[in-house]
Amino acid sequence: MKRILLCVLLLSWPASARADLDPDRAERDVAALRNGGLDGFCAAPSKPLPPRAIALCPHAREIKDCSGFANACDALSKKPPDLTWLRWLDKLFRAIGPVVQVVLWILVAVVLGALLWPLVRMLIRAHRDRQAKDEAPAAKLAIVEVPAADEALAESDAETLLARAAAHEARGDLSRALSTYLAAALRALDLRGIIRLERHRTNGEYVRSCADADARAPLRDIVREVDVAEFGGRPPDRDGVARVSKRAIALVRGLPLAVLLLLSGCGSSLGGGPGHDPAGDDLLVALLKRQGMTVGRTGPLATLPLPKEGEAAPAVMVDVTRTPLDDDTLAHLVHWAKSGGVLVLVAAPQSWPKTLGAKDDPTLSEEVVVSPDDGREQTWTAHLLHRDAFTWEKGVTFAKTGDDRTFAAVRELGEGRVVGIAGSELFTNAALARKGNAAAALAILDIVDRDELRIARPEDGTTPPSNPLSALIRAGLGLGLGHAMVATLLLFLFAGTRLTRPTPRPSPRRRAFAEHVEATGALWARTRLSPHALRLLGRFVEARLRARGEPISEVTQQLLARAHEARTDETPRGDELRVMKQLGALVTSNSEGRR
Amino acid sequence: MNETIFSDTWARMQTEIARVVVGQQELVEGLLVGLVARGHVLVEGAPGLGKTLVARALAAASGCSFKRIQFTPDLMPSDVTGSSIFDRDKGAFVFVPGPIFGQLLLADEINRAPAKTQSSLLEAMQERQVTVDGTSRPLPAPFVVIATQNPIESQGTYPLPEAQLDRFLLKLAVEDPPRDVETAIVKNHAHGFDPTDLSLVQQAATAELLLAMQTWAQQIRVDDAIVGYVVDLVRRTREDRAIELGASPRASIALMKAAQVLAAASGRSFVTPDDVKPMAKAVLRHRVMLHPDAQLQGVSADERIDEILRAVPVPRLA
Repeated sequence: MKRILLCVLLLSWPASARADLDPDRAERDVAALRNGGLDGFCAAPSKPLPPRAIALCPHAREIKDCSGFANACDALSKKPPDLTWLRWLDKLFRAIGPVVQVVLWILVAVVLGALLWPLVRMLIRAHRDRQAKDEAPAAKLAIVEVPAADEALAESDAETLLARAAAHEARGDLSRALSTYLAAALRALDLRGIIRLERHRTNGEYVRSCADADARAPLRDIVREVDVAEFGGRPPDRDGVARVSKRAIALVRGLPLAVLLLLSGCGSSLGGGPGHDPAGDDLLVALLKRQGMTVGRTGPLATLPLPKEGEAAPAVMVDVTRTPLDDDTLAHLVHWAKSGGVLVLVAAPQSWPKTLGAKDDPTLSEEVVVSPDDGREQTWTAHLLHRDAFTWEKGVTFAKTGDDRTFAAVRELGEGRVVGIAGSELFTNAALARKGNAAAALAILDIVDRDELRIARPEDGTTPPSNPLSALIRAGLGLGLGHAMVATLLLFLFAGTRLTRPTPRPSPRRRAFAEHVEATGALWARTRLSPHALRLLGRFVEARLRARGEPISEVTQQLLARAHEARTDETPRGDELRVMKQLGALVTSNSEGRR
Repeated sequence: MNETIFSDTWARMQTEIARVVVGQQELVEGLLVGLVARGHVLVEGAPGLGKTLVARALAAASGCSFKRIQFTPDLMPSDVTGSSIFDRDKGAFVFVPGPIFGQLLLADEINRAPAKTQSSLLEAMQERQVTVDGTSRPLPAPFVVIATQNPIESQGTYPLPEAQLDRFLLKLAVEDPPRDVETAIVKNHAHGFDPTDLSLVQQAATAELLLAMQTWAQQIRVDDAIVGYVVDLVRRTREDRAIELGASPRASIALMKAAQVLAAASGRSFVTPDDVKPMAKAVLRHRVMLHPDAQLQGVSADERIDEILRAVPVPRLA
């Protein structure tokens, strides 16, 4: 009866180009693949072993020439070192935990304060500027006239400057091209924090202040060429511009390239490479390809294109425990299967979509017997560790456990079908390498009846977000995103405040000179120190008169003599104010005359 | 003369001076700039910082004759310029040249002499000739006055009037040496160095070579953008709020000349802003008069010039 159902099921599907999987040569293929380099999971498994690989450890002893994996598993069973004497550390950490939290919050407050302080200072300064402007509109200020910004300061992107320089070069404006190449190099170095771009700095100062020794030499070469062209009156030639261009490009793109190289280097050291994870599926993919099947990735399952009428869509294999499906994806996947797709579910039945109606039926057997009933009387037996099985009312069973429970079955769903397999263990590198398992796996997958299989990756079960923001929110990073946005805003304001265009510097808020003199005079009068004041003023006036080299009249000499004979500790005679006024008048009148 | 000979001679003179002078590179460079730019140099610094030694070493290295005048309050103009003395044998007045008739004149503590004596130097510095008893006598070429003054003591001194200050191409400030330099100086003396013995210094140039260098430096190209930069810097001293009297156009010329020499010393045939900026303080600091208000606040001329250098953008095409 089962054979008839299965035949009907297979015959009712549209004809397709079918890969003929041959379980009989599966063992040879696996051996060849392992000898060909896909033996990393046995020879040098990932360190530390991933949890899924640890669960496969019992396979290690059953696999031929798999000592690396076996040793890694043995190492797990060794007794861990006794760390009980370190319990005082745990107590210490528990004790200082609250203190650390407080310190952390204080740190956060300090950082926020440091970020906000320039903003506050800018607001205060702006307020003070307005006030000063209102109070003293006619005050003489040392207003710094801001010249037209040069390109390096006006353009913040070094690549744009490079492009502009290349355009100048192509147009034949070589002088301009040279200067713009220099601007690009300076901007790139400025962005890296190696130099600081300022209008008043000379090219030589940039070279001398260049903190990166590797960048200094090319920058010096560029500056030399540019200086000759700009100030030496020697028109630049194509060769010179080409040299400068080369150096500028190296400076602009040097660091990003280095970062890429670094990242690529890091990337290779981070991963263990393909085939090193005992729980991976590299061996399955290679085996299927060797058997003539096309194997690839699905991409996001939620966007899987629906099969067209009369077209044999590729089969899709999903390990639901590794690839969690969100509601939208699940709905689309079921719809896709109903439209004619072949969905291969490999996972414990409790994680399958409820709509499929499969029920968990645990087994005690470690054996799986595959009998596809495709005309061949042959069966294949696999040995597994996990004991998952299920019951499926509408399914046709073609692989059973040793105690006659369903391990794999197939059922129709709309115009398509679903192949259910109770667990993905059989398709892992470690399980496939065990004698007999590869043949059983191929016999199971042969029921898929497609020449192309696409395997879903863990990230494919999530509907692609419509925009980056929703992706972050969906990933639970909404709060973090909010914090990041606030921090970015603060940083923007902070940097913007610093990099703002130069503005006329306000005169420092202070007492006018006359006020200062009056206040000082009043203080000295209160403390009866007018002789001291007279003595000081006398010295000042004499120094100024001498500095001007003008003849000193007799009256002036008398005044100065009176000032000189005043003693700091003497009682005021009463004429100090008069003499000081006369001395002050001498300086003022002469000063005005000079001006 | 070409760029290489110029820069080589310059470097050789620096090397020879460095045989007896430890540190003080800025002072040495400033004096060389003054010598080649046909300018006079005012050196301000506390006693004991090696001003006289540097001047003597410069004379030895450059092959110029060296004369020194110690200025005192009772120094008379004729003590500087020389005077006519009756020669009984010849029965006529004979001119006896004063110490000013040297190529490198060290006017030590120039502010100790009264204005009358100081002004006797004016004609010599400006016209490079001395007029005594109605007869003008040219001074040997090259002629450079290196005047020193002590910034600390003011009692019994006669500050140089602005008119005379303006005659100096550069005013160099000599700072206390850093610890390592001072240690090296003391060690040299511990090993028997005698500052009066300059036999270590080899002659690296001649008066004729210096004259050729002076001519070469004048031919160094100054782009219009550089001229504009120099003028902007000097004009800004006249607009600065803290400066009562800014630098004159003579300062612009001096700054340009000094920059030309520095460019030639770098082996270049053209001036860049990098030659102008290092000379700005030395050229301008004695030519600006600070406002009394700024003086009372402790603002220095160097600070204002630094501010001006930061405010004026350097010329750049892009």
